[in-house]
Amino acid sequence: MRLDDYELDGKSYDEMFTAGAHVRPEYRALAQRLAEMTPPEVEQRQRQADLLLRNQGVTFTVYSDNAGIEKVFPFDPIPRLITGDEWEQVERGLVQRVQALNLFLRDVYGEQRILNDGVVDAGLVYGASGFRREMIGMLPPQSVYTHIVGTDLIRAEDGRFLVLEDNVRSPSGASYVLECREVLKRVFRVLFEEYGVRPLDDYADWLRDTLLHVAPRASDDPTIVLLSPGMYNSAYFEHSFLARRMGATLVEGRDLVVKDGAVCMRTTNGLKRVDVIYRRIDDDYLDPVVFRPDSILGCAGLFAAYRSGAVALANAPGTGVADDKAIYPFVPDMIRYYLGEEPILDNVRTYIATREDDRKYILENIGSLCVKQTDASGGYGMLIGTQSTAEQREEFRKRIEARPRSYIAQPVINLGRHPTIIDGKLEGRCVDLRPYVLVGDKVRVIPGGLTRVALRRGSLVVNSSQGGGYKDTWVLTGTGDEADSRPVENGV
Amino acid sequence: MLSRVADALFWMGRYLERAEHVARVLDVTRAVLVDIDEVDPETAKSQWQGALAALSLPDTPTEKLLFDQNEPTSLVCSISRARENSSEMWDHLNQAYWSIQEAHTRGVHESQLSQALGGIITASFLWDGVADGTTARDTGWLFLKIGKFVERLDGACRLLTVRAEGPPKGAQPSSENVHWVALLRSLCAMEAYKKVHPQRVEKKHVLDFLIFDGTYPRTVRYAAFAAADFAKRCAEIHGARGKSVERAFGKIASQLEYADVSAIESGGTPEFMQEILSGLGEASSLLQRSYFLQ
Repeated sequence: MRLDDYELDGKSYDEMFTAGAHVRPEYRALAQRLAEMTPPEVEQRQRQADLLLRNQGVTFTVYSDNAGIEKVFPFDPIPRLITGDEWEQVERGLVQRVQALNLFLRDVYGEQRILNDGVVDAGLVYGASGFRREMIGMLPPQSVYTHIVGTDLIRAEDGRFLVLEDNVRSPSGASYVLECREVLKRVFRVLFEEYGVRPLDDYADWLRDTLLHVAPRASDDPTIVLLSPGMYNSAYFEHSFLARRMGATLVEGRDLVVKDGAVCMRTTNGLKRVDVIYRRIDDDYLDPVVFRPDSILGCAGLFAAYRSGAVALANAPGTGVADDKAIYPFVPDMIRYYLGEEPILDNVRTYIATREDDRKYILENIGSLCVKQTDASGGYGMLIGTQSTAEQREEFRKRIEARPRSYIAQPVINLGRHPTIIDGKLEGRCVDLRPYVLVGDKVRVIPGGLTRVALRRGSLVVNSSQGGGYKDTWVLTGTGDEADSRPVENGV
Repeated sequence: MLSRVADALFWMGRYLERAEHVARVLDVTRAVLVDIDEVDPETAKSQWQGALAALSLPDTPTEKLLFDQNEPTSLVCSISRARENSSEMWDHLNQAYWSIQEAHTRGVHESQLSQALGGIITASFLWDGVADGTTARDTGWLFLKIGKFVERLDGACRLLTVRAEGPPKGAQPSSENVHWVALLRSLCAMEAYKKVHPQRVEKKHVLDFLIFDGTYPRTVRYAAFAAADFAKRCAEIHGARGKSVERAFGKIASQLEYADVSAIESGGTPEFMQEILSGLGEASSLLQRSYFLQ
């Protein structure tokens, strides 16, 4: 496989190559292995990986025209490497950020000091689609609101990691991280021996500990369930995977019933009480009595049981206020306000359309900005100014003027790129990184996370619903230098 | 165990058994047609119609029989429902599912049909083996097994109802032998039968074997006793709520234990099979009420 004809675009940060087209030290062993492989060998490995994933049922569902199509998640076998030193910094930054977000949630639904002190605009908080007034005055067990967080990081042009968004409601993707590590261990076994890669095996135990941490009863053996919308949900594979790995029961709304103030599940032996619900359905669907009355995914009476402390929910309802795209620009201020520290990880510069100056700037410079709808995700409701038509820009200008609360804008960033196999050749493709953070008796960060790849040439959108794929992410135990290549024995 | 999951496992057991049964009956019947189509077209036609009737799919074109997602007894429907219902054994069923989908997209030609049907039977065997070797003998296992044997009993009874009378009047004498051999093959029982009755295949012995033999796992009696045994073990775990189910399945087993064999010999098979089927219907709806609906 040729590395010498690999194209750098001269603007964005490349994970494997320096601006001078030299292989970065930590990538040397990997680059050498790749150089020694013939294209058919690479292709054979990719096929093997696809087959393993398909047979394990690692699929997701794409919805269009009301028909769900089950697809195998496109997987690129070349791992992304992060040195131990760099990771240590990222890890500290994530822990700091998640702590501030939990304090913010506690404050917003409690004393509201940060609003009264004018640090965060109260209008933005109450206007957030994720704000739930039902949560006011409710202190969840152990004061934790968001237990499981997936933070999206990108590389700026200068190589710094920036936070693109926080996902504090019910982020998905952790199962893909674990599954694709299993696949890569089989496909690129020797590389693991050359590199010291931090293992991911503890994730399911951590998740279980995180949930046990909030169990309400002094019970020897609390019952944990994972509440899923069911098999037609795009992330159902993940729900079933995590439940099995944690030894939790995978339930749907119809399995639950509230009796005598407690949430119970229907079993062949009658009703059984539930202690902790790891819910993978949105707030709106949790309880038809309190939220959307037409929901059949949740359980009537669940929220009352939660407020009374009879059952714990992870994550808490109403956490969406903290990952609203218009609240995001305030996270660095939150860190200073609650923790008295400077943020370790920076935000991307963000313009808020409700602010007059910002709005003016957005409308005038829309062609060079990325406009995002504050309550949308998955790459939907977005305008990338540099890749848009005049009509689209006009359309967004109108929308922003009509509903400024719904929009923010950021400079278009040349996302960091990573060599990716495209039609048997290596080409640079944009990547991001979503590490998962668990808040239990302590805060833990999965070593690595989900590296998503925009497989379409020149695309900046990595979401799986928009043609994105993914890679395994290796956090190295050292700097990677020591993994200098040894002679090849039996292939890679 | 969650009621919904127990329900799903019960039906997974049923759907897989059904897929295998449908595949085998179609495969065997097609082979019979090759033998007699030329010499005795009337019998050939009635063989095929009988097979469809035994599968509760009268007048269905083959394509539909195999690939119609909306036809609850079609092969693809059985497999995909079984797959939807599985979580423990996802890996394996997933393979069978994709292979059938693949066969459909490629288009199964006449010459490949037998191969495709054989593939389904193999997938079912393979799955049984994997389940046997990797599943804990817990509550879920019991529901899976009850489902399997309920379906097996159901399939055998329906087939015998249709086939017990022999070939239609006026059939060629050679068709008589073909008919009974086909019936044995449809229940995968040819070799087992020959061990007990090595002489020429004969109606009386065939019916006696397929209904009353207690050692071969695809006979009516064996399936009924197996279902009763699993229902009993299930009741042991669940206490009072399982007792009525245990009794209902036990009754079916006793019906076979104390049946009047001479009535069968003088042409009473279809009635007897209907009796068993109605008891089975009651027992399985009782099972669903007791365990799955809270």
